[in-house]
Amino acid sequence: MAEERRAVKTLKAAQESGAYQKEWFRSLHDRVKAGEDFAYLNADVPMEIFRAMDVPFCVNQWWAAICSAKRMTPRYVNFLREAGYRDDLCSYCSAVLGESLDPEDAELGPWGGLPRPTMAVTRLTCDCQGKIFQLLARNYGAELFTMENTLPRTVPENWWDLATDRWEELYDADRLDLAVEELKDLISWLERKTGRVFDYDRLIQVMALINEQEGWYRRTRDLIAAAPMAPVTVVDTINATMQAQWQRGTEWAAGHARRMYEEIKALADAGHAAVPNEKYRLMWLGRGLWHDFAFYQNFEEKYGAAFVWSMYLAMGADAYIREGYERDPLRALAARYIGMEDFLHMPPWNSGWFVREAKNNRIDGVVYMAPANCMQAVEGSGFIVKALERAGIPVLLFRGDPVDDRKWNRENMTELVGRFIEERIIGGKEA
Amino acid sequence: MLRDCALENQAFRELYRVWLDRGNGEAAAHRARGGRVVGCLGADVPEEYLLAGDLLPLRIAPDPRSDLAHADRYLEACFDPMVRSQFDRIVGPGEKPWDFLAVSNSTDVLVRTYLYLRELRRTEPEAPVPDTAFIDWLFTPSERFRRYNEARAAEFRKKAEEWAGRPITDADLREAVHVLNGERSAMGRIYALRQAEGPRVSGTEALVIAGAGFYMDRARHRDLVNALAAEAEAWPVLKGPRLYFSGTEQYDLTVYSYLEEAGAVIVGEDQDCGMRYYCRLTDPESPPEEAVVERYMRRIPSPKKATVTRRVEALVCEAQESRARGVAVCMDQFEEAASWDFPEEKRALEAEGIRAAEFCKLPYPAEKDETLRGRMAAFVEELKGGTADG
Repeated sequence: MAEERRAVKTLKAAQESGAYQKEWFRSLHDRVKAGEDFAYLNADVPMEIFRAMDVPFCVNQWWAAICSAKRMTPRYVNFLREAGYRDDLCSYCSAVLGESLDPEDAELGPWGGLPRPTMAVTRLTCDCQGKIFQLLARNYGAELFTMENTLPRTVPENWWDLATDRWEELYDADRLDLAVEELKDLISWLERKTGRVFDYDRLIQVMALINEQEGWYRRTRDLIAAAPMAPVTVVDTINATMQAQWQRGTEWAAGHARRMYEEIKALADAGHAAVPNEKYRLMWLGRGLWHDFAFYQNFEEKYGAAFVWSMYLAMGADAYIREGYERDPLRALAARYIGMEDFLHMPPWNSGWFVREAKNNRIDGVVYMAPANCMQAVEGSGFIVKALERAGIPVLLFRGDPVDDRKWNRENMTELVGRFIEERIIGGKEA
Repeated sequence: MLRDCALENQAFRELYRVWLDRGNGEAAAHRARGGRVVGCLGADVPEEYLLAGDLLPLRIAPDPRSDLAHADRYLEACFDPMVRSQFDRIVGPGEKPWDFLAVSNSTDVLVRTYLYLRELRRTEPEAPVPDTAFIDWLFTPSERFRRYNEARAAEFRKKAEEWAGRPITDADLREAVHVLNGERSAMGRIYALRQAEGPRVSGTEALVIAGAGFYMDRARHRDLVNALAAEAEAWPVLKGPRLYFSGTEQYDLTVYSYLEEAGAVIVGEDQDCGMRYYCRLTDPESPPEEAVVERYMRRIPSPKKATVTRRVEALVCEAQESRARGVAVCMDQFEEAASWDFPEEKRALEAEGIRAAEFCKLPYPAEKDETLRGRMAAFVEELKGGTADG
């Protein structure tokens, strides 16, 4: 169990996003109390449709991260156990199922607990997801909508070169066709359920705002990569990016991404180094360590080792922007959401991208938290490690859980990463 | 529990021989006749196309003796141990009895397995991974997904033609459907003998009868099963509480033996080394792709893929039709999806007076769990409810 030391964030943008999400969540409560429909979405669901229709929603993995940061996960696991479920399954995706069984959620849950969803939407990207969402939908009395998942048959190299404006070449055409049809089904369902009317022009505006927002992430990612000393670390960028990513398609999120860029640029221009004695640049692979963010800062003073890269900012930079959306916004949206899992979890798309990012960011070593119990996040870690090591970048691979801190031992992990830095990074450079 | 009546039966002995050999001899004989062999992973490979191209489908069985050293180089810890063993057989050294591979997306872990095999072929061309097809079915029942699946079926047909080195005609396909439907009907006769008021075939015996089909010429399997079914009608009736089995594929007899040696009779199952694999015929009158897709989309909903509601409905229905007194749900380590169903299944089954027990996180082979036999025996004792034969 991690001690109560907290991560030190320096960016105003990180504080702003933290404050915004709290305020946004309060307003979400108000809207639900006023009788509006409320959708609970898995992270890979095309939330842009909900945004365009102004249907309030909350993203499962974002909420799981909040619950974990508030140390609520063990409580929710207990509820699952009491209801007869195993307590070692799908911790990232099932926290809310435990929460749905909590009779005191409004009093004890983070920020007044989760408002009662009336809709639950997930993609069938793993065997468990549909089951978990069906159970939580039933507990909340929500209606369930599922979307299928297809596998790429052709895998062009360097997806990041195609994703922005040659996305038709990135995918098998019939996968895109099917995804567009599913989006239309989702829209019809939402129209029927909420009485709202979908407006293509509004979706175009949302897509434009997202391109703008992610464009700022691209500039920010490139800025940090090029800076002689990293002006910020992942402790600031993960939260600031993830929190705003789930608000994508809003004026606030696009503005926030710009403000974050400008703040980091000002720091870089002033020669500020987040870790003044920076000697080594580290890459964090895997989901965020939501229950122990301070861990990332454990290696700064002693080794001058700064975690400068995580997928959160870099995915924003490379995976989201879709040009040409005005011609066919649904197809452009399909071209965004059907690839997300594969960019991250399918070799060679993930391994090639990690190597490219590691090189661009002058990474000295990679600390890689592979999932302990989640098949959806299984991503060919052996291929990834091999590709990075072959590129001359040492990797420390370990198993861990992003939200469940019951098996996390900060002391042991600090020692493990410290030894990795000493032996593989420092030792490697001296050899 | 293999009884003397089975072991003394000629057809059963032949099926048992093939089952024990895991098809190595059958594959060699097929190759010697100039045929090609397709190693299959997953219970949803549309074998109709393979048979139509005179390709022998050969299920890749896990090997309980393997040290998994080769699989461990590539697979994360959370791959279930049975799939780990199957992967090890593919990537490990030694002569392989297959020329090609076909993997269906019957469960998430097999999707990953396919991706890893594809990547292995790309990054390590010297690795023993042959040309591999992937069947990406969508299992949610809907007209839209049916059309997508028909395109996948047509794609697999093309791949089978490439492997066979000749076109597969609709007549070839009709003949293959005829053989497989005959085999499924024959297995249906065995199932009827298990489901009867007085069951004549044990679950363990049925595992051998069903499993042999994974490793041999299917017309011969059909004929042997038909011959066996006729004779098994005279086998002694089995006594004991009737049990329905759900969960992990059973490639060996250990788990069924634990349950049946404790006194239960396994009268049905939804696992893919048993009756789920053979249920539902392919409609010989419909257009080929349509008929194939219909069959693979409409079987008993898979514990790995279906929603909780569909699983609960299917399991209660199956258990009731089997007149089961209890249901044993078994899952291997890291095989997680069905665990989300179990609390609901248990409640629904118990409301119908059917007891349910979950045996999860099982190792492979199951003997590694030293407590399993005792736990299963205790469950069977519960089912007996204090009577001599349940």
